[in-house]
Amino acid sequence: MAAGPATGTWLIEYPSTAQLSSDMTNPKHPPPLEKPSLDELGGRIFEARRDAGLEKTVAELNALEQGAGADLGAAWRISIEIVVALVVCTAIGWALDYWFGTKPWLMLLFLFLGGTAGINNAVRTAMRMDARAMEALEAQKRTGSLTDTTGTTSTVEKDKGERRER
Amino acid sequence: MSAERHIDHSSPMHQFVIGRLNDWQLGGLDVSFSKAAAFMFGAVIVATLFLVLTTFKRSMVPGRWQSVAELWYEFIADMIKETIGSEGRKYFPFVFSLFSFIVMCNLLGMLPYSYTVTSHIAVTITLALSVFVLTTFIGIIRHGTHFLLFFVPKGVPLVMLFLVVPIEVLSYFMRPISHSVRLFANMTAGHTMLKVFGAFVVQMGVFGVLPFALIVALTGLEVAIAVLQAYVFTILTCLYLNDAIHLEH
Repeated sequence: MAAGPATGTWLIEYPSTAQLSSDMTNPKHPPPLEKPSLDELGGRIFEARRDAGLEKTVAELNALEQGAGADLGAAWRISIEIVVALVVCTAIGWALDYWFGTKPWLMLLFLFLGGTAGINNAVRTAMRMDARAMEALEAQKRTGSLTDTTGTTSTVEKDKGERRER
Repeated sequence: MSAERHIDHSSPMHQFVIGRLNDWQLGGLDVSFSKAAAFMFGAVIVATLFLVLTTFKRSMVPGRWQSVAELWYEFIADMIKETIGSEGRKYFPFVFSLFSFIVMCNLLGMLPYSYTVTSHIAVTITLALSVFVLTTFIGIIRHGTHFLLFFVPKGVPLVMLFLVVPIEVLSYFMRPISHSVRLFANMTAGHTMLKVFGAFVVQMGVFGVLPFALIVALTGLEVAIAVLQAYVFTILTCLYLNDAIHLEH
């Protein structure tokens, strides 16, 4: 932490260390005298990370899930709910019928209940995914409107630079 | 145990046979150390060693290996922060251990000649039931009898409650089953598929190049699925914890 520009070799090897440590001991946020609570600490860490551009946005977190097979994972998450509830509930109904000798009425009842429970779980899962996707979309819009202009210009400039090099 | 012998060595299901490494009997119970147990120990040891060795130096500017460990940590920390909020902090060790164990079991299973522990429902349902019991207890301890309101959705007419409450209760008890079947089915299906295509390579002679190319692609997909399913299992654990803490669907 105290590894500042004390020795020359360190500076060459880790050029960002000096800058990093100066960020840490930011004069704007002097360390408080009392022991801060975990929430305060969390807030300060969040602020520092956000100012440094390290805090992940919802869109970035969602991008983590967009890797290979992610759609397959989403499909499994929903479909398994229905299948499992239907199969297990029907099996329970069948077993109860076997015990009470009421074939096939309890099985039919549990087939219906199982289907409903499965769809209940599946819809809930889908709605959660939906809410998350909407959140990501809104976050994208918000950050997009803020950084859109600078983002596009920088890529255009990069393109120009590359072309010039060629 | 007799079922073991009926599975042909060339069968694609042969890879899932729980082999015994020794023959221990304890009061009529079979307590032999099995291949499954060995790989579970292996997963714990590999995960522990990896995390301890990579974070040993605790350098301010992380090296390559330390970055992996930090990424691993932050991935779970972010997941908990996002799904549960700051109240989920105390469950971090549980969720982190669960994720590390499953991801290690899945990835060790991708090595040739190894064994995939998570392709057995006995393993996945034990994990899922431990999550189920834990979340139910957290719900009951935190909310007492109010926990039962979890099964009564708001704004439902009284007459409909006779139908809705049993469905909600059934939905709740279906959770550990779907939670475990998802992981087990994914791992079993993937590894069986790899073995089936592997048999094609041998049977098709020169033209075996085609299924071989497919196997290369499928192996990549399987590695992705191994990580993804561990992630899905973990995020569902977080969602169930969130339900128990905040009593909302």
